[in-house]
Amino acid sequence: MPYAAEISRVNPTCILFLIDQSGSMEDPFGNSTSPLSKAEQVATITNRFLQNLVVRCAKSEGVRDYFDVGVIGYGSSTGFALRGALEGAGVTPISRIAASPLRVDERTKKTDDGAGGLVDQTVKFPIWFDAVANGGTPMTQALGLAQEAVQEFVQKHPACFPPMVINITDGEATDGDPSNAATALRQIASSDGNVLLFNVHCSSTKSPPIVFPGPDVALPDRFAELLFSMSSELTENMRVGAQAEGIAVTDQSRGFVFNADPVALITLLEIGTRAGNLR
Amino acid sequence: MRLQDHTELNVLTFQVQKDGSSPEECEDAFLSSAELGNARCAPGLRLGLADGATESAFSKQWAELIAADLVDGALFSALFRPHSVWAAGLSRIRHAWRDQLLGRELPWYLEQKVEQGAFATILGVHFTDRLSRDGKRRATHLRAVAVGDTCLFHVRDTRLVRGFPLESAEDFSNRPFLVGTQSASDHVLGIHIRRYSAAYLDGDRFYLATDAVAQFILRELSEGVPIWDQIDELAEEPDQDDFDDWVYRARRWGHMRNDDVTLVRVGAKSPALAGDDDCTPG
Repeated sequence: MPYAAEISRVNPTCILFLIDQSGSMEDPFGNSTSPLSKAEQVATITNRFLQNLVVRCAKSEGVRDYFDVGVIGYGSSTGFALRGALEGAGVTPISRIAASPLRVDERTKKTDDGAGGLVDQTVKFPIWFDAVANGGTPMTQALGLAQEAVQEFVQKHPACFPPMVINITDGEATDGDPSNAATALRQIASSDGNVLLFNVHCSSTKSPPIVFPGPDVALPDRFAELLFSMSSELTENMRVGAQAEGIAVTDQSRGFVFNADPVALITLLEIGTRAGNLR
Repeated sequence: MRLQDHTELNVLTFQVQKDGSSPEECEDAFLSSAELGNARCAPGLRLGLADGATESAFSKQWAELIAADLVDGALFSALFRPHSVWAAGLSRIRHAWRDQLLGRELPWYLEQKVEQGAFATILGVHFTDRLSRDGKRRATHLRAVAVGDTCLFHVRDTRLVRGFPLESAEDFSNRPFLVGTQSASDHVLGIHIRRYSAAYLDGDRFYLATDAVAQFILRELSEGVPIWDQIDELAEEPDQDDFDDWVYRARRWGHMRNDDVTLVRVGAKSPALAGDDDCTPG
């Protein structure tokens, strides 16, 4: 059965983010009341995901390398986007990510004091990735870079749980049709299955959200249809996870999200790689 | 004729960590009120087994505290009593877990992991053995309590008398209910506490098993494999290498999930004749 490989330190998997950093990411989300730009919200989500992943891999003796992680940005230029000590590192073991945030912000939250009241608690919030919005949308180039990185990972770990690539974008590619690059990326396979490519479309329009549609769902525009066609079908574990979260899915549902909170996709990724096979 | 004071309960423990981990990283914790290994045990043998969750940190410490309290503390009895009693028992152990971490300088990710808590499945088994006043009848009895998928198998001859709390390989899931270091899910913990009580006979055997090997045993059993004979053979001349081979083979064939494994065999042997001079026929 595909997508069943255990994820362990001797057999890690790979998660790669492709983040649109084009100028239009400076606009707000179409469906959001937040004053934050799409770029800022995507940066927050990326940092939160990395934080959750590090905490998930943390054991008393340190962070176990269950995952290699990379973040590719595409806008005025295309390349691995983590900075500081991770500059130029490409796909990186999660323990190194844990050790190298750009900075650790402190935020205050109210927590239960155990006696019916609330107390302020300081929470550390590590930042690896700052918002950038500048230039065009060279998505095809980004998918090509992802293909190289994932190919290299699979060669090193031929029996791994297949790498997962999450592309977050708000607009049409400016460097040609990305379909062929997406197909080539999805065709890379470990013995446990093909690479999974998921797409998050953050539109500036106020169209209603669509989460994990099948081919029978009408999409609002040509570009959404293109991104849907580039997306992998959800794995069985992910379908089960989505249903547990109250999201309706079918056997043909794909990892495509339109105008919805990308947190839904992140949650799904976590469920899809969760405890059952993390060793 | 008078019976001997108590039944012999021989306890034998095997443990092997998940493939790719070191033995120190094994997060199963087992404790017996008797010496580990073959030992003649006093009446009131108490066993505690806890399986710390891989996805939490400091879960080995949590599992050890739970197993120890199931043997030496009040938790076992408390789990047979109302919510307020077992909640108080758990609260005491939770404090002990937090106390172990006090004063330690933790990196940001471990601070957050500790906030999420540690988790374990648990199994406690107590054997009692009482003689009637005239010393001619013996009442041998066991009680067990479990949360999650760490199992006890009660076997008579080659027959499974009871799989507890799970009876079929299909009953196992990736998300068993866990006992945590936080009280947030205590309101539903009550419905997940399972209890078992039975008399046992001379010759009965008991196998305590963490989830991967428990599921393997039940699957083999359903396919007609003489699994109890296999384990008893391993127990006859216990050798860790033989046990490791047995587990690695099952893993390699895909019959056993790669997880920490603890398997404890308890054999009940009741000496019929005894050492009481007054009663020796002469």
